[in-house]
Amino acid sequence: MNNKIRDVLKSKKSIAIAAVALLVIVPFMMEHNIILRQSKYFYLLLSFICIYTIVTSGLDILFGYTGQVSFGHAGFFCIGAYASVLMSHPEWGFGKWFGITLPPILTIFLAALIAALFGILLSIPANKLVFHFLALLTIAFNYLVLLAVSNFAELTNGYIGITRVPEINIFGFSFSTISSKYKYYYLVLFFTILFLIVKQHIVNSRIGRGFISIRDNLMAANGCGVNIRYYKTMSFAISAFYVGFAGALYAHMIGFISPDTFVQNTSVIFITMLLFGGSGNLLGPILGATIITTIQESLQPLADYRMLIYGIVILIIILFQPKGIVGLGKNISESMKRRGGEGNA
Amino acid sequence: MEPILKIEHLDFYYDKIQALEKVFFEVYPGEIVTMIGSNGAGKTTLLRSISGLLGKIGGGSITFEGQRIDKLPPHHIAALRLGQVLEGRLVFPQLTVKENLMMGAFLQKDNNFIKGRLEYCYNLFPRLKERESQNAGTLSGGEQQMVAVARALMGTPKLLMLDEPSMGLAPLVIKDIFSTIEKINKDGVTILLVEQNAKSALKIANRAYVMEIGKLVMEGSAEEFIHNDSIKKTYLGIS
Repeated sequence: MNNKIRDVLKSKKSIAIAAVALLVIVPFMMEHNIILRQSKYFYLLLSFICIYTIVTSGLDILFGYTGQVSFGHAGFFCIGAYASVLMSHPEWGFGKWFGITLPPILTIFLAALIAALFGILLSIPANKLVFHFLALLTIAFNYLVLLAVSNFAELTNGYIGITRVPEINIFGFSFSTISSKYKYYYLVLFFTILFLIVKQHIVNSRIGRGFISIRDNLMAANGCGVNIRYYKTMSFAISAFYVGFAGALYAHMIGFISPDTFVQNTSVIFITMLLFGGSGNLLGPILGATIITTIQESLQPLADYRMLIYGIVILIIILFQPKGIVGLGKNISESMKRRGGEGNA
Repeated sequence: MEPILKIEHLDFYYDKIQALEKVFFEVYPGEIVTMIGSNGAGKTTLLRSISGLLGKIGGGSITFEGQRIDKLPPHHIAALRLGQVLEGRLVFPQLTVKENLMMGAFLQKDNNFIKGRLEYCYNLFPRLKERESQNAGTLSGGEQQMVAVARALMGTPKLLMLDEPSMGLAPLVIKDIFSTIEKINKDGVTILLVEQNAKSALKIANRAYVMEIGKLVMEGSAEEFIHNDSIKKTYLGIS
């Protein structure tokens, strides 16, 4: 009996299912005042965590699995957000020019595809670069996107930004976000789980092995017949798709977008989340997104010092725990096992 | 008989430094050909320029089974079933042994076929079967070399090029690896073996070449080489 319980606890699948159940049930009980109380702020926080989990997981495919660094993913986040808004907003983009708008539930996917397209474009120069050169290129990409969005005021309303972003609804069921993010949270949670499952399938497939082989040993990967350029491009595209999709979800949740959100600092925060949680696995990006988002929210009063705190966090992680929280957890469990083993002997 | 691999006038430059000069040789189907030479003679450069890993060659031609391959990208060359084991056992340390082997069959899409190859490799190296789900980075040097050889075999190569399989291994392990190479050859794979360990290489080879500073300076049967005085002195350490 005891063993059975331990087996259940040990299997990662059951833990994941329990976590998802908790994430579904607790907000539901809160909304109906069964436990705690309704908290609009809490739903918002959870939604942010989910959105950033999609972002970090997308970045992880590129950085953690393929070994290509990007300090410009806020660019894809921006492209996803603006693309979805411009296709669905009645007063901007499609609505302004052609008088037609597409339903947001469709445009979030189209926006992600457009972001993926930009990912492919970026990969053309990026495929030839490594490490610091690649970092510089991606930073430049971020600035380019930002400049474009800020300066084509005809299209994007420039620095002022676009307000009254339409809400997502599916078959007449509206995920309105104006009074509370409660309903929207469930939509975002659904997509987050979907994207995490897809990520797991990608990295465990033949494609994922191609990515990892590029990260681990370029020469050997090439010798095995991996088309390096093709797989790097694919990694960029998938990563950009994830981040673009998250950007679109963000836009329809907040209801307002302006270039300020997508500055290069945002890209640094994405990288921080990934490094903090631990790259190259499923749990790391989730933990990183959760912890950093929570810290970020609780540091709201210290907004001026936020980048300083990130700087220190990155420094500590790189110096003492390069594998992030996940690596720390692994170290602890291994040392406990060792101690347990000694105890038995 | 048509050679399976034919190299003519091959030149290769690292920027402006010439690493290979007018290299000229052939490998015939079913043979074990070995290329011996000291450090820095250009042996690794030669193998890597054949498999396309170094990019553009300086001049000359490389023909594999009657097809020019010197302008093809490495993944196309690998698809022609020209396999190679890189110097220094470049395994993927974070992947398990089995995943490493699967990487060798990266271009194969038929799952049944891959299963068959896996079985063949596990028969050849029973040790790998035991370590199937272990990360390749945790294996010993000899085991990693087995992974590297098995991975190359997963792609059912017609010609297998091995770059210093004996490097950094204990004498007993070297003996094992070389007898396995012989076995692989008996199963119908042509072998091009690049070695510093001339003694072991000449024992299993049919023909041999000597390489010195980017040039092939001598050619002959392995038998001749073993009894050649200058070879004995320079490469076999017998005077």
